[in-house]
Amino acid sequence: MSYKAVIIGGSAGSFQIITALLSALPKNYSVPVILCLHRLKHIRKGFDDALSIKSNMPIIEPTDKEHLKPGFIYLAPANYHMYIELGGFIALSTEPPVNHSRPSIDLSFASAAYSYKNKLLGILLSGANKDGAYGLKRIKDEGGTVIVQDPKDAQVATMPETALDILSPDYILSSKQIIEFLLKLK
Amino acid sequence: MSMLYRLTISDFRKITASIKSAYDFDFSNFALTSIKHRFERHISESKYPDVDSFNEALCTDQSFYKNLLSKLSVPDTEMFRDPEVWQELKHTIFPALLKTEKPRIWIPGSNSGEEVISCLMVLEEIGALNKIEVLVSNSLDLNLERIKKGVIDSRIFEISRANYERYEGKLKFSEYFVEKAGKFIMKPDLLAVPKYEVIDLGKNHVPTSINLCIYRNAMIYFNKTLQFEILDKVHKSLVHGGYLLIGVKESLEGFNVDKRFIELNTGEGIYKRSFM
Repeated sequence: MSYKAVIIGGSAGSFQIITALLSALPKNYSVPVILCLHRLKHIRKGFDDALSIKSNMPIIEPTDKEHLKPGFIYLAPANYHMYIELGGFIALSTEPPVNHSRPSIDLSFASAAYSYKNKLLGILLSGANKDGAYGLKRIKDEGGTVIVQDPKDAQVATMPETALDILSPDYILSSKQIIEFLLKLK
Repeated sequence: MSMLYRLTISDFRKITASIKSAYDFDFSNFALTSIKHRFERHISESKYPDVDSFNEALCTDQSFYKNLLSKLSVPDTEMFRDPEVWQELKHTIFPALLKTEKPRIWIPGSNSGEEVISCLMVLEEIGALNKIEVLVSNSLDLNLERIKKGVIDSRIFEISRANYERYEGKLKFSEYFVEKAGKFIMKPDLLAVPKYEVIDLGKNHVPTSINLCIYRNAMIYFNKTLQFEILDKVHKSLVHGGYLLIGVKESLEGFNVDKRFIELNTGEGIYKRSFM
């Protein structure tokens, strides 16, 4: 595969496609998959379990400075920002919310863009706020590949629409097509 | 997020090198992406149009530099973050501390005071405020001044009040604060209890005979090298059997943890110094 990591951002209305995607991806997927999803800040436990039910790959809510490994899903923990550092590891942060969000998709995307350059695939899904658009642009600017969920296909179109306002993605795909795209990569 | 000034890595190195030579402060062991992001934010918000003018101001104006350091330090998120941890303090750790002679708590990681206030309120609730010594330290005197003022932003106040309910605290939370111009100010009596001291964990000596060190979500801003240096000092500052609290998503992995600490509650960041 020409990518070293896949990073996915989602918010309201993205749970369904995330679970479909997790159940479709095989156990030995060849790159780490990083998920930055908006979630309730005070509910620390249970979200990874809910996602694990459908997932073939183990889901990890990483601790600070944990190294990313292929075949694992990394879910941004509640009430922390999750940066991806040069060298392929996690750096957590409790800086103030960005776009009213902690974790903020913009911060995860922008840091991963910087660390992986053109070896990164970024995907922005359904959501009700503007988080993620700027970070997706950073991925594009650094030479990475970006996919925006088709606003017509998204349960809540604001997030993909905001991204489309500021960048031309490589692909605009439905949830089904996104999953097909990821499966072809292996 | 609005468009930020983008620092190249060489510009970032240029800034940190001039800070190092002007003030002997070393950013080289900070977690790179987050410190770079914070620099980018402050350059974007400053009146300086480019890195060179920003850099020049920084090296010639010490008060600008001191203010910048304080702004770069990440504030505590909220009071009673992770309410389960505070319950554990109230029900298990504080009662254990009260059985020892002259117990001491050390809080080195708070930049804006929410952790300090939470600790003091739990001590007040169990009637232990005058029985346990509390030492609050920070590398910056500006941050200590901020902590002593006890001013809480209204948004953070509301989150904290909700946390306090989850913690099932027995005090009337709001009675400890006075509302003024959209902020909530902690009444001064509790904040007068701790001792405050400027300590740079990277450079200075650390206190000794500590029974509990509350150091949550502060080491995450450093790389492993600096984390281990600091953990080494924190380990030595604790009495045998003393407690260490780190953030729920922090880890002591690699720090010879099996020999130096016993993990008490998996996933809550509560450790106890072993007898090494």
